[in-house]
Amino acid sequence: MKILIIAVMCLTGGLALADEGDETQTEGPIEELQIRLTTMEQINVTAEKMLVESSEDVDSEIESILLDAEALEGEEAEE
Amino acid sequence: MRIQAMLRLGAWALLLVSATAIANYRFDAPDDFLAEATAWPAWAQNLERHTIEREAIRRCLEEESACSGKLKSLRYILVKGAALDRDRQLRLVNRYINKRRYRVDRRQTSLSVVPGGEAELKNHWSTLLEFLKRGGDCEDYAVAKYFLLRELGFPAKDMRVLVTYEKRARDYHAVLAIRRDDGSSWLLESDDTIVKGNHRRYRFIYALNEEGIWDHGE
Repeated sequence: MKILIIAVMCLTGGLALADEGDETQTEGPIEELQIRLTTMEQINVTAEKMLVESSEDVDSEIESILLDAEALEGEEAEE
Repeated sequence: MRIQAMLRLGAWALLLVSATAIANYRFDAPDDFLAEATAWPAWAQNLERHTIEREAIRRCLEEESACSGKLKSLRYILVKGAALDRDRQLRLVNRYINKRRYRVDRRQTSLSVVPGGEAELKNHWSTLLEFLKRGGDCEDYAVAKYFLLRELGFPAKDMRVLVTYEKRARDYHAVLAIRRDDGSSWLLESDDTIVKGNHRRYRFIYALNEEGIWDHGE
């Protein structure tokens, strides 16, 4: 009987220790992720660039589409 | 002597090609995957807002009379763009979005004091329609291109909003990275250029799309 009680106590204690170990392992990566995401969020991404002339040949169809779209926006502004 | 010179030239060419390939953005770096897109609340909320906006875009595409405001010109771009090949779609979208007004989103960098006295950093991502109405900064340009190309059928897995440190500008800068059919990657810049072959001027920081977040380490 004594042996059985001791065995149960050892088993219970072992399970409790194992659970604590699991919790430690899962908290670590989550905390690391949050820290990394916070660091990324704090990066100030605002560099501005001026439009440059493209070295590629002018695509007349694309230019025409853009002009027509711009004209539609002009109509929107008037409405 | 000639053979030696040719061998030397060949070795240098190989080195240059290898260095360029290493410097170019890679979509297939599995160790860089950090988390699902939902792990970043501000980004996840932006994706949700865009999902709602897509309904308005769909209605507008189906029925022109349902288009109001910026949707009219957007509809035109989508209808005309659908008839172009992939390369020209990229050029069209890049040029169309880059015409928008540049505006620093002060909410992205400001601290606000919340009840309890603590300050929290507010991050703001714009949806496509929000950007078309108000303009934005380089991150907003990249996100708008992402959403617009998604409407044109580009798969999410082949596009990422990529935050970099640009060595020439000495500043943090966002571009849209596109994976091409041959595995190469193109970067859609806010100055109307599309950087294809050589990404050495960028240091890659992180990237995201609706499928995940990638940490390229800084």
